[in-house]
Amino acid sequence: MHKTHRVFFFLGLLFVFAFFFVFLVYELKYHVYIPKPPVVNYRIAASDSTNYPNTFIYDLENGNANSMFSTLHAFSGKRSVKISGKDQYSVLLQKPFAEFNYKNLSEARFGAWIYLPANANKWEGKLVFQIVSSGNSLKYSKLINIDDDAPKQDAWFYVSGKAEIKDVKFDSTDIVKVYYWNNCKREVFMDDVLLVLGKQELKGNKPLIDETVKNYSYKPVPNQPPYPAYYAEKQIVVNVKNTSVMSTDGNGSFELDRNDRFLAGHFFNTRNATDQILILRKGIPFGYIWYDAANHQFNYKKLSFKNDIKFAKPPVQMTVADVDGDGVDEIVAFDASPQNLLWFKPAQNPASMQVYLQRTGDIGLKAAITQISKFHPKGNKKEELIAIEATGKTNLLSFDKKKWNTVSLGEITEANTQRYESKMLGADFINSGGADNILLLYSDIKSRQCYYKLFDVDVVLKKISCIQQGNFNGKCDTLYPQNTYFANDFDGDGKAELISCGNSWRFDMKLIRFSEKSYQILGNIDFKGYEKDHNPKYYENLIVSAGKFADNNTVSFFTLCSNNSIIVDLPETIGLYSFLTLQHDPKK
Amino acid sequence: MKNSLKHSALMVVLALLLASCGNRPGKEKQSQIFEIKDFKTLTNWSALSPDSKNTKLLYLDYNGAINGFNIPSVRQTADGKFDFEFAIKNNSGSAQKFAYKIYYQNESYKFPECTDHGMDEHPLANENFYGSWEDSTVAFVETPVIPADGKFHSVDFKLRIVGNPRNEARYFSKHENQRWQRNPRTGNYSFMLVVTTADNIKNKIIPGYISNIGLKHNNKFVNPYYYFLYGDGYELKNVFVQTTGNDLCVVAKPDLAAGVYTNPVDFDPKTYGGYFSKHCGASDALYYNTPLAQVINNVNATAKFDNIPVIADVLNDNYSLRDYNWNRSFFKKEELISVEPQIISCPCRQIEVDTTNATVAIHNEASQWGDWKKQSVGVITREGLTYGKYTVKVKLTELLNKNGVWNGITNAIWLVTNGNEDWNNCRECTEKGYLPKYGGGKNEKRSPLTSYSEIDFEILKTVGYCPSYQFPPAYLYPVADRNKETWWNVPLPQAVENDSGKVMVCCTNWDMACPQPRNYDVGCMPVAYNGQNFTAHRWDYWYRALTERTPESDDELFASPYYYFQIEWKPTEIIWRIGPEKDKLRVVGYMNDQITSIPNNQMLLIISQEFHNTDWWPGSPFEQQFIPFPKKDLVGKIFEITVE
Repeated sequence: MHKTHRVFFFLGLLFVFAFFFVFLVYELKYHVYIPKPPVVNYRIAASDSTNYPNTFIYDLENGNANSMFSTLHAFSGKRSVKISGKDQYSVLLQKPFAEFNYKNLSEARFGAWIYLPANANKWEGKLVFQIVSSGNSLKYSKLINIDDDAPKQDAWFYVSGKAEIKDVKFDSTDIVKVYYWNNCKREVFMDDVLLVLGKQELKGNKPLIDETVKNYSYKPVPNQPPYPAYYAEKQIVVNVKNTSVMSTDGNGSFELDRNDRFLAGHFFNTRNATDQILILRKGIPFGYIWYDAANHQFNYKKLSFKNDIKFAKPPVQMTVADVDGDGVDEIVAFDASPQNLLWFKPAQNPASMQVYLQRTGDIGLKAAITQISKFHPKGNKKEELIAIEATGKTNLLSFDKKKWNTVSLGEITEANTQRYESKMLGADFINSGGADNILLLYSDIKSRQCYYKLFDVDVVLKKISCIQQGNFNGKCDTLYPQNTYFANDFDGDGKAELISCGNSWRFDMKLIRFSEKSYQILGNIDFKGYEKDHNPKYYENLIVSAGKFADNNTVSFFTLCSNNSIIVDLPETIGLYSFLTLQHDPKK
Repeated sequence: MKNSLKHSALMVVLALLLASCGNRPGKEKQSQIFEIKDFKTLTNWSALSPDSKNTKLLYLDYNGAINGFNIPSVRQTADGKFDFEFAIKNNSGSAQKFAYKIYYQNESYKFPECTDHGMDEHPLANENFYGSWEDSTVAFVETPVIPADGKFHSVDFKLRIVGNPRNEARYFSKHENQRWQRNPRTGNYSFMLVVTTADNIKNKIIPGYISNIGLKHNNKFVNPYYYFLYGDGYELKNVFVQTTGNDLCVVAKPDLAAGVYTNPVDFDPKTYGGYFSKHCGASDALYYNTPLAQVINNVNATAKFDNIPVIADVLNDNYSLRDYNWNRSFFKKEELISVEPQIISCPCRQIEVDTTNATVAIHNEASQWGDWKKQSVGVITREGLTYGKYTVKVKLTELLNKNGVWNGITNAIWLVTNGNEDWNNCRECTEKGYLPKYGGGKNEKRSPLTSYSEIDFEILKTVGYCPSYQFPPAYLYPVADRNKETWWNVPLPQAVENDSGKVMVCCTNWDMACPQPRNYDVGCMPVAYNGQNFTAHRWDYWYRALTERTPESDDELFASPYYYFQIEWKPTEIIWRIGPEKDKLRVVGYMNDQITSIPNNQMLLIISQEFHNTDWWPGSPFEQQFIPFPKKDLVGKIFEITVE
């Protein structure tokens, strides 16, 4: 090579190197270069992964203490991740695709708190979201750039962003990485990283709010949502603490359990002729509580039995009715097959109760009773019982001269447990002072469609006849047979309204009225006057019992509220709520 | 060293500036032929401005102002005109007539007459509000014959300031001069007296486009102040020119006791007049005299949302974040109420005029079951103005309750175009053009002209978009599962929680994406003003608005007995201020013509309480559709409006 050629060659080489150097400087200056840290073996567990689908919260409190973590600063808890000087990246928060549903991953959101120490005159860095293959090949990245010449120092900043992921082919072995890349001289700290992969999934069959439905406008349609709210107002109760009723002298308490069963009835006479609540624990009468409106407190009594009956097994079907016409209610129950009829007679001393037992075969019942309800015949102080067998065979039971009598009323096909799931209750829904009606709410086991039938009972002719029936046209969100029902005269018109308490995916308590031809959903029942935001409907477990607990003209709800786990700002509680005034006049 | 260099450069720039427009302090050159003295202005008007003994103060008269402001009005002086006079001495040796003309110009909201760098006319100086005789074809007026007796003789004349002083065809409709379409501006006015010889007029020494300001030269108007003080007119012989200082200060202060007008075009009084009264309605008296009207919002399809069927008093019912989250999760789609932020259905029902205390109250009406209302309500001024310092003293509804939950209202104090017709077009955007009215996308055809303009205060619960690393905030959303109640109640992000008692004061200029300003850009742009740094945000190159956001205490702005909001709209900048008293305002937003096109058309002031679809406000911690309908009226009160 000639000397001049050699010079040109070296000059050319020098130019290439110089150009490359300038390029590198440019890249570094304008942050085009981003490190791609290797996939790592260590795992930092998300602290709250189980609670929110596809949402991962890293509080960085757990894991081995090592140089990656620091207790010098923390946004929450005691630790954060330290990212020392320029060109350093934080620990990687990795989420393998195998651990979440990535099928429709089209977006992700990510955020972290970053701490900037004192004397950090410039803040420069990136919060990086990457999707890489198991071999660390980059498939997608989103960078949140920070370039702040005059940041507030000695302060935490929230950095967040959204990744819109398009045209990326995923593999089950891919990995999501989130990390912070520090590009300033001072160390920074990172804490409380939030990662949401995809749109946050909603549990249940369908999203609650469907953004695609935009052409709906409000035209009130009978028995179609939305429904107005009827508010039951909180009564003052001074002697409850969480789920316990405290004694007035403060020396004792009566603790209620969410597995208890609560039956409302008029079991003994009080000054205001109000109802009491019988508590059944493990299916067996355990005690009473009742409300003393004058002193704003609950009273309680634990029960003992005067006669010593061994409960081989707890009763299965149970109802409250004044079967002997003495002005106070009894509890009538059937246990499992071979069946007995159990009759609990409260004593005037509320601390005790007599129990009587009779084999069902002895009173003409051939098969097991699957449902039982009280029935009030016209012009009779005494209440009777409607008892339905598994086949749908329906019987009327009355108690006379200390003996039970049974009359067959025929068969209600829809009460046959082979084909239907049903719930039956008797109340005066449409007769206004006449005999009770029998309401059967049922659903076809195969189709899951819900229907109802309303019956009149002709005691003389010994038959029942359907006077009204209907279905819910797929809007089966109200009168499921599995719901809990109460029938009471809420508005004082002499006819009973129906309260339905649903326990499906959401709180659902509705007030329903029957007319001559159909039913009408009057509205949703809600509560008001509760402490802070402790609305009973906000609890995971809400047990409701309805009765005239506060005075004998007003329907009240006794509530026992609890959660499956401890929620600090939502303590377990007992309450009493009354329909002091109906906000909407159902007659309109 | 660096600083001294900076200072030197500054001095050079200042010297250049002083050497340009400012080096001619006004012309008062006496002629050999005549002498002028004792030029007196506004001799029949005595009210003085509290700020200056040399400036007289006039409040715009809104009676009959629907056809345009007259300064003064017939109610303010005996003949609805100002009196002027000057004294002239004839030195020519023979009796003769002289010619004179009076010009006026708004000095508060004007472009300088000269360019920064020389004696050329500033390209926008002809946008200044200047005028002369009402009939612009009347050029110079002759004095009576002035004897050459060595004495001064008094000459008096009258003038009033009116809209469209150049009588431009642009503001004519059906052969009538719609002077209201270019109303006189508020602020200070100067006057310029020009006197010359009859020969000069006869010989057309002064060009026709100066004698008649309605004429154009080279297809554009020429500002006579420039012509006589800096341009060719400066050198003319036997032309006397005298300018005054700011002799007149004009302030608009609409009388809130005068009532609120409802346009029968929007609502037929026969059908909708159930709540009309003497002080709110569509009567002729209100039509001609009242300064305010009930605002009728334009609702577009994007404003629609499906709302939860809940009625609650969010501000007072202890409505908590748990309530919000719970209701957000609870309802099924078929239970939601399809709502568009409605225009009012029954005018005047939402308006309360207190004639004793001269206040106007606006009510966002409460809902009842089945009668769902998220109605925006407000009042709008009826007389448009260009530029001005708009100050309102109001107590608008609180927005947050003690739990930090938003009631869904956006309190807005804003300026909007006076009309979407050609007469109200903004200055031409020569760089690519404007995009059409907002709501459209990026691919719409640009146009060099638009009549749409808007300058906003919008105050609501939302987040800042700058710095960009904080946006969009990553939220946890409630998950509806009956068995996981804890999934329903999620906390707000800590970044939002920290500001739970604060609302965002959003200051916006809708420049319709005209990319003409030198520093037009997207994303977060720093803007400095008087030592304060603001960050203006534009979503994209095609986005039609630029916004600055400042978090402020909801209690301070809306729980106190009143609060002041001010938009100072100037030819080259917009300044947003708020404060507890008028003399204690602080700047919360600033933009200038380097980053955004400042509108120069005529606008109206609106004060409103609105329900916005929060899709317009990405990142907002509360979504409008999950906020209950109001159980009680949300009341806002307007105590005072001034435009200076």
